[in-house]
Amino acid sequence: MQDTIPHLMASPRSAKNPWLGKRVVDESMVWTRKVAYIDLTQGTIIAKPIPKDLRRLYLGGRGIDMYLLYNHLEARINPLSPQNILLIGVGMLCGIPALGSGRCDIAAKSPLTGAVGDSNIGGFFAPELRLAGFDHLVITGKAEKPSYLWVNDGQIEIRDATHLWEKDTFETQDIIRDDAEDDEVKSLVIGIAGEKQVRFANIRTGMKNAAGRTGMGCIMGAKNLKAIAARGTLDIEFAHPDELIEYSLEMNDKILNTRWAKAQSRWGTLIIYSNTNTTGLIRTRNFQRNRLENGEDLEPESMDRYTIGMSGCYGCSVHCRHRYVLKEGPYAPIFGEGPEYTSLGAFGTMVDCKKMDTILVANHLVNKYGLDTLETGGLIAWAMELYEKGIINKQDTAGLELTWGNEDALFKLIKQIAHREGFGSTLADGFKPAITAIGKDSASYAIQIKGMSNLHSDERPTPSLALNIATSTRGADHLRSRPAIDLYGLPEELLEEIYGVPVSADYTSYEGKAHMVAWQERLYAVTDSIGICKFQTVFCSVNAPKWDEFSKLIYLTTDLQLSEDQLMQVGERIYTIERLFNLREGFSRKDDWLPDRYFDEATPIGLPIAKGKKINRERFKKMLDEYYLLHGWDENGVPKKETLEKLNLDQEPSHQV
Amino acid sequence: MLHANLREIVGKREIIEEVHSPAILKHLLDKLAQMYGKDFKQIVDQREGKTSLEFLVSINGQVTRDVYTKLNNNDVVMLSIPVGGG
Repeated sequence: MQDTIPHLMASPRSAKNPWLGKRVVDESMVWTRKVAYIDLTQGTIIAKPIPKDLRRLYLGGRGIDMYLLYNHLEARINPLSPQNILLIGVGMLCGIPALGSGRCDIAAKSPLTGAVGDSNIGGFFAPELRLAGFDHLVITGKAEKPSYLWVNDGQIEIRDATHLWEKDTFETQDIIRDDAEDDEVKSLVIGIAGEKQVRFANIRTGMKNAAGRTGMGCIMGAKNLKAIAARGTLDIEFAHPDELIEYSLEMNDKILNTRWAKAQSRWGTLIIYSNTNTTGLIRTRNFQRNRLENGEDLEPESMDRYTIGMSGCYGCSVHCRHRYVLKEGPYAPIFGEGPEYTSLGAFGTMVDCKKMDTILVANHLVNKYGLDTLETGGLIAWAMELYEKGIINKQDTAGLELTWGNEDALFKLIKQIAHREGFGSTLADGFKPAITAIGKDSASYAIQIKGMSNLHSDERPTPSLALNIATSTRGADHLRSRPAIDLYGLPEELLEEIYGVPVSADYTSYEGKAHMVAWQERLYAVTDSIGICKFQTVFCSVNAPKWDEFSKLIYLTTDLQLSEDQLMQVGERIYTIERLFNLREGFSRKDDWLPDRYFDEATPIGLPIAKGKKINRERFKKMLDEYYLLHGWDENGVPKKETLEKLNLDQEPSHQV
Repeated sequence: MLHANLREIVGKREIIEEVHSPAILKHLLDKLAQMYGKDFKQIVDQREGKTSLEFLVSINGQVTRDVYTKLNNNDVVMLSIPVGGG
């Protein structure tokens, strides 16, 4: 919060809230920020205004990125070729002092899956890019030598990055700041994994934040693009600043008074582990068990040994990330931020490591090298099961003993993946190529959808969550549509009020769950497009902001009037254009399906509600049919003509910009 | 099983409580409220007479808001808060 205030300062100030500005602006910054087309091969940069109609239809961030991706990318190109485009998109509400509004969306054709590549990143980069005058970057081609982009007050330069090559993600940011002699420079960077074009390399900013999923760091590496650095001194302007700030503060108060926000402020996302592990909703030893036995050291309180404070992203009042110091052990000292609940799964439960120290070291390594936590952990857990089953052996792994809980092997394999060395080179291209390379029965043990690893949650007891990972446009993934509130056993009248139809309060039921998933898809598509944190929407709590609050915030920020229904339609439009993209790339209904183990192997342990559970094939098929119907797609998952017309998608690609 | 700040208040992850038969959830929650104070008292929304939506109360993993739910021998009652995610 402190960091957001200087940008919002304006005089005179009101007595009630000293930082409330009175400035009257002709136009919100949303209408003045530009989209820049950067061709790294030619070295050309062209800036254009963003059409107002496009804002109305797609808002910003993920929405406009998806429009640009569908419009500008030639079908079926090699994602590592210069023709692939890398899109950087600032969320529409970026800069408001609430809801973690500093989020940025990064998209391309995924080198991991061949489907929609898209990842959302918090921190402080997006506001800086907006202060520098740009909301969207469209990056094509390939630089002749290592390069980085320098974005500053309406200007963009392609600069030499030879001296940054082979530097880790932390060093790279430091050197860019030192070169600019400006501590306020914010950068998106890749590490060695991106340079080596590991297909699940991520993009990072700050100590903690990552655009982790779908391999966007690999695309930067393929373009010889080491970093995008931004520094801006333009003003952040809102259409109705006084009302906006007052409303934002009101929302911050409301959120901070909830128990979930207080818990996240204290324990971060690690707090989720207590519920899910107790119940038996966590996959362990890849997919063999659904609870980590004797996993007490992974309980959130263990972080008290290392935590020196909590920090947050731009515009966030919750501050859900630990700042920690690991003082002992062969990798010490380590100073870092996190770890998230997902790291706890990737380097704890899935590989059967039971010490928080292990999580912190592994978390540090993937951050330093620039690897996606979930994909790295998912692949290593899979390899450990293959090793246990004798499908691979010590010869295949070049001497690594991939036994459960072997933290030394875990650390070595992370390093090997990032550098494409040893057995790591087999895993560095992700599940599909690794399955081909290893052969035998290795595919049966892979917990992946569309080529992307699932997180460590076990969805066998929860059909809604299973549908969520099966249908996600970017592969097995919780952040596209997870109806986490399904786990809360909320009153059915309240669920009906939210979702508009009867929904069972029992999370093991299939009734109404297709509605839940479709609704959450729309909500998260809009959330990623206005650029706020998902935790501060209906993800954690039914009372968190949703359509009506979004509608008001958009009006106060931009003067654009969009009703709740119109916003829901925007969400549907974004999800459908992603679907069109995937269909064009050859994906179909068969790809909206779970690994066989979900249907064939019952959960072996857990509390009675979670034990002995598996997904029923027939019921899941019906749920998928219902889900397609709700979207106006045919039985093969292809949007119908009338659906495209209703969503203004019948003329796409329309090349409005 | 206790989670979040409820765990912090009690200082333990797990407690074993005996309640007289026939027992209902309310007996257990009343007893804990008496022993550990305000936060535990707030688990029950007094206006509604049900567990509060700010908490997550489950018996053997089955979420319940009904404080009159019967408790059986060896039942696992989890007192937590709803935090979403994985």
